[in-house]
Amino acid sequence: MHLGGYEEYEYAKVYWEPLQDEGVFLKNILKIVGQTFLLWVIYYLGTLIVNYFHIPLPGSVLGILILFVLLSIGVIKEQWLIAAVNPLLKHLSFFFIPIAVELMQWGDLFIKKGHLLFLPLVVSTLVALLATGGVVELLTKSNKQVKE
Amino acid sequence: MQSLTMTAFTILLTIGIYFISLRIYQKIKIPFLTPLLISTTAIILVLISSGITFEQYKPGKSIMTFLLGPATVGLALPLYLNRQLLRKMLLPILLGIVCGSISTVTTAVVLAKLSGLDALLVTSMATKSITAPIAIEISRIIGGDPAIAVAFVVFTGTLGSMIGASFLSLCKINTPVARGLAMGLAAHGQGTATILHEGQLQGAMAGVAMALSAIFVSFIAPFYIPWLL
Repeated sequence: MHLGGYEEYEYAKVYWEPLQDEGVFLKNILKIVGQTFLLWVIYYLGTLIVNYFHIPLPGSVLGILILFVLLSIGVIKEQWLIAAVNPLLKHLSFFFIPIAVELMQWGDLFIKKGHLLFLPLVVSTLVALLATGGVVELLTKSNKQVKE
Repeated sequence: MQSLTMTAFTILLTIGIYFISLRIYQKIKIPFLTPLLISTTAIILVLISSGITFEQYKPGKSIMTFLLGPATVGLALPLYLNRQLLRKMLLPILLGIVCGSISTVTTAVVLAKLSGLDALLVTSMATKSITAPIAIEISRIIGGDPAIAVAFVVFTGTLGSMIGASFLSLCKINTPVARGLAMGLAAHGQGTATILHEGQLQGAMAGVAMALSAIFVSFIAPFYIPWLL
């Protein structure tokens, strides 16, 4: 296994280009609507399955798994989705605004308890960085040494 | 009819403020003043000052979030586009995500509980390092509050994207794969956008970690969180 020498990761693809290309969005509007409908069908299917079988899993997560499988076996091509996925993920944070506005109902709670939230939020974030980074660093380095 | 006008107004208000906040964010470039934070604060201020209650905002909310589910399903695409990378680094990726997710969920929930916070806040804390659309859904399933969950997610993402890279360097975590995965796992989308400045590989890895940790936690949360509480 090649784990050193990162030149072999040219194929690492990044979809995250926030806040760009508004013009492309307007030109491709019909394409985007159709592709969004396809995404919606998969999402709906995921929701239907988890509800029907009472699986304690978000319908959207099952949707991700379904779409990943359909892409992998070639039933759906990436070109059929990319025009919709790009703007949707780019503006993903828009959808959280209406949800976060509900916080106006929780104002008192945050004023009273707010200071108590910092410790768990900050410590667990550092733990996440250290645990993930540490484990992966250790594994990739030891693998490299084995190879050498 | 009046409620219809109100719904139209709240939707236009939200969209308008969102695009204004995008411009502000691009201009001032202060990392923690994200469009989400600016917009939410502005909208809450407008609603309060014009005497509109959240109940009146709610119908517009369900229309505006209609596409959140389909958009979330779209996260499969970046994961699929990085499948070669995923296959090549499967063991470090999976172990990193399992260890990272379990340790962060456990510390968040246990520390929140020890701090004497209400059950609702403790439960909403569990999904703090998960990307918001999935955090919302998980917190509904495990009995947290979606809005509070979003607040924790955004706080975590902002904190992670501000201090994450320097903290990793301080801990001598230097390989691009490890840095990318750590940022994506700890600070989801915001961490991904930040670590992308270090390079494509880091950015792609962060995206992979963000999607996989969300999937992993949504599988374990319904059993693990009640056990922790």
